[in-house]
Amino acid sequence: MKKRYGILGVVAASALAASALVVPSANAATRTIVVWADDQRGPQLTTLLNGNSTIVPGYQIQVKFFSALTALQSAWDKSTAAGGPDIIVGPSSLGSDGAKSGKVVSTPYGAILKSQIPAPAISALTYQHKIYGVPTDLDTTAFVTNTSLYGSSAPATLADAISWYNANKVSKGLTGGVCAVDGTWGTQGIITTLGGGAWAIKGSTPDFSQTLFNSATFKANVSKYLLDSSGKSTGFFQWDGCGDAFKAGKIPFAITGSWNFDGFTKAGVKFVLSPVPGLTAGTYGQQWVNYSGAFESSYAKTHGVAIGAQDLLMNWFAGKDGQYAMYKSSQRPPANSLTAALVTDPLTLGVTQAGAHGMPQISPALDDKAGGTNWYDTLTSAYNDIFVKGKPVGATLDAAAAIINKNFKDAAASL
Amino acid sequence: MFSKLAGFTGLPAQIAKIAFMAIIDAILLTMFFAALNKHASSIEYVISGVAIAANFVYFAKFTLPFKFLLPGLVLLTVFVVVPVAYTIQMSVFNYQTGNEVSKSDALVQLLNNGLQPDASNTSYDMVLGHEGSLYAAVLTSQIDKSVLLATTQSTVLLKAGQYTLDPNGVAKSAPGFVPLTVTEAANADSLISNLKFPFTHGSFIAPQGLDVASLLTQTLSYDAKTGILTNSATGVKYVDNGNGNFANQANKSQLLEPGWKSFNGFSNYTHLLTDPAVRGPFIGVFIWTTAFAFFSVGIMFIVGLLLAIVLNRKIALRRFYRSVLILPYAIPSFMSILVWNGIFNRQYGAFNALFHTHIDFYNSVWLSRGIIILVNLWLGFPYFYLISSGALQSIPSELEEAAAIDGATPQQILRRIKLPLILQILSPLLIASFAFNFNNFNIVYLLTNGGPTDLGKTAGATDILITYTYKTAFGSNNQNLGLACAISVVIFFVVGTVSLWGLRRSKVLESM
Repeated sequence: MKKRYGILGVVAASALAASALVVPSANAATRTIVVWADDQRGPQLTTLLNGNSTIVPGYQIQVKFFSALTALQSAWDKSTAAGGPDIIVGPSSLGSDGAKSGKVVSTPYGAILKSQIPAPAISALTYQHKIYGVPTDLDTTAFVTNTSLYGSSAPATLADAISWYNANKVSKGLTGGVCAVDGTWGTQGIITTLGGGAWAIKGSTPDFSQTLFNSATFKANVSKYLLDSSGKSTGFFQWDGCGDAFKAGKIPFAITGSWNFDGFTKAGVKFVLSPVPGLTAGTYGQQWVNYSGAFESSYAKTHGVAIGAQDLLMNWFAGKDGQYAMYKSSQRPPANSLTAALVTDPLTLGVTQAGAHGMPQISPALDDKAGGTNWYDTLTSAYNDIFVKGKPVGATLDAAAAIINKNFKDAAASL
Repeated sequence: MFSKLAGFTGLPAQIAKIAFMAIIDAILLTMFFAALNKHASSIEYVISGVAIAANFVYFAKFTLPFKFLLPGLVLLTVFVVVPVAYTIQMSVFNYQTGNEVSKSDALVQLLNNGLQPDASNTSYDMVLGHEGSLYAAVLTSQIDKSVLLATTQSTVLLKAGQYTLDPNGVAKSAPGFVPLTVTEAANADSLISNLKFPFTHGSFIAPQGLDVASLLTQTLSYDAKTGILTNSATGVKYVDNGNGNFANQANKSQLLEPGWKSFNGFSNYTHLLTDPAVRGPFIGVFIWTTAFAFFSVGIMFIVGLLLAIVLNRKIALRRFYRSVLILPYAIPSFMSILVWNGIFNRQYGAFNALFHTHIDFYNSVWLSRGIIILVNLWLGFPYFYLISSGALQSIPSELEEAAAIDGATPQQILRRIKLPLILQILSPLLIASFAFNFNNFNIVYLLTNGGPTDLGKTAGATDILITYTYKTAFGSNNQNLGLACAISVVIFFVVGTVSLWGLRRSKVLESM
């Protein structure tokens, strides 16, 4: 009797357990394109795409967005075919990094699509002579002037802004002059205004052999404009966690993109946009101009939705109508030239105009760390050394440029 | 046995057991098929093993001890043994950004990257369908509006009258062509994504969506026999370099991306010791980690013990002090750390505001190390106070009384009797605390993020091995997971060795 319980038990338990087969077989019937995005585009994409089954007929679109870009990148880094997305939306570096890792597939453009996409957008998504993904929007910054503090229009030159800051620092209780809200990335406009920069440009091609971060002009201008007579920072130049101070009216100028404008408005800041002013009127700094993109993952093929994902990519993410819908939801400058012609929002136009004075961001070069640390971390350390620790400008910039130079040389070999 | 003790025996107990095992089997089977769907074969094996073991153990008659041990063994295997084994395995692989997928997956991507559009980016508006038993497409050139009827065997140019155009000028039908419905196309996604309609000179037209196709040429070809990838456009041959990449046969430094995860023996370990870019920070970080763990535990123990000795006496407001001392332990540590982080902020911190100073704690090597130990003391001394109090109270009072009768002073009683006994009792806990602080990720990450970091250096002055490992593995776009695994294995052995040595030294193992 007891022996039979054992055999009976296994049989009964197995029979009951077989009911679990229903779950996976039910899932297998759906054909879903999964889109991952960060917190900046995710909410809009959720509204526009989530649950939609008409944009790509025969497929349902599912949008999952993350709390921050870092969270998206972390999940993407750890993703496998088991739970990874079919399309990922974010900065262009996702394309080059995905190309290296084999997680993103290259995207051949048709003639019509190619004619609608500006050449800088295509080059931003190109890695080792192949295009990865489609550009969705212009990813750049503008110079933001708090009109309640400074006046109704942007300063004509950076020198004007610095003079005004030095004159009003104490009386207005300012904690800084210009805030690069997004960290070192946003400081590129100021660096180039002062004669520095990342790499030189020959014609329209980056010359990675020439690092400008320690040019004589830049060294002299850092001392002249950003340090006082004793070599200490005047406090004008801020790059680390200063966004709240700008919103609180303690910093008159900021450099950032459309993702922060809503927050400024909610904080009661009245502002105008302009390109980063140069040292003489009519000249401008060259902030980074990048393009965000939508990228097809290699998982799409494993999931059996590669064609559907490509369709969504080409017809909606890169297309006129899809980009217009995203522009209306996010106010980001669209990449598609047909959509860009339809933009009327003044803030979007302000960023677009500022972007016209920028220079293309080549992410693999900035991310390379053959010299020890990448461009971002190197600049953070150099700024700390000069503006916080008071170390000598020349030696610090030379040391930083040596690191950056190694990075760029290494990156150039694989671009 | 337990069921007999509880009076729950016979048929009802058997039915309950079968029902319980059915639920367990159902859960495991669901997990198994989920893993099967996701092609996660290693997880399939583990689940299968657990299911077989569970059914065998709970339905067999001679496995009574295992009925109690199995849940613990399974959890130990899944959450401890498997991660440790996987970490050790990955530490001998070239596993980094660019070398993350399998060789077959990398090859698929490389061949996909070898698809080259022509100079004009020739593309077509496409209607997919069948011609006879073959997949076919009616293709309208986006450049010259010519119309083609393509099948997987041939492509022919259609003449006007052989096709009909929609209002946008896109051909929709052709003789013998039956278009696919939306559902048919979606269900055939995998087939469509592999379709190639032959064109001229080895080129072909391939769908790039449901209604667009591009003219492409395959410029990379793989010879499985020789293992050589050849670029037909340049003639360059690429061979497996033995380290997870195809490299130019004539110039081995020229690699194709993506590469794949590849066994590289002890390269990651030798890299730790021989590559100056890694070795320098590693040795510095190792020394600081050991010092941090040692000083943290030492100071916390001393402070905790002193407080326990003081509060072991009958003093006024003793209960109040005891309650207050537990507070730092009761507040979630990550909150305390963030509060302390704010207190020491140069610009806005309470410390500088209170004392009207401008001390830059986070940019000074020794100050930042000092505040890490200070904050760790704040977080950890209540624990040491609690365990020291317990240990003190467990020492028989007769010992103290006998020593006092023999003329020992209170200091001598503490030094000669209480302290040795306390150390014997607390040694395992001190060793465990050392191991915990050796890997105390939270305090470093949240308080200083490893900084200050010198220009060009990967590791900061307060980075400990675990934060350095994290930075190596996840800190930038170029991640080196294999190297991070090697560092983790080193940490594992260091902590394990120190713990074993400490336990042996304290003779705890012998007395157990």
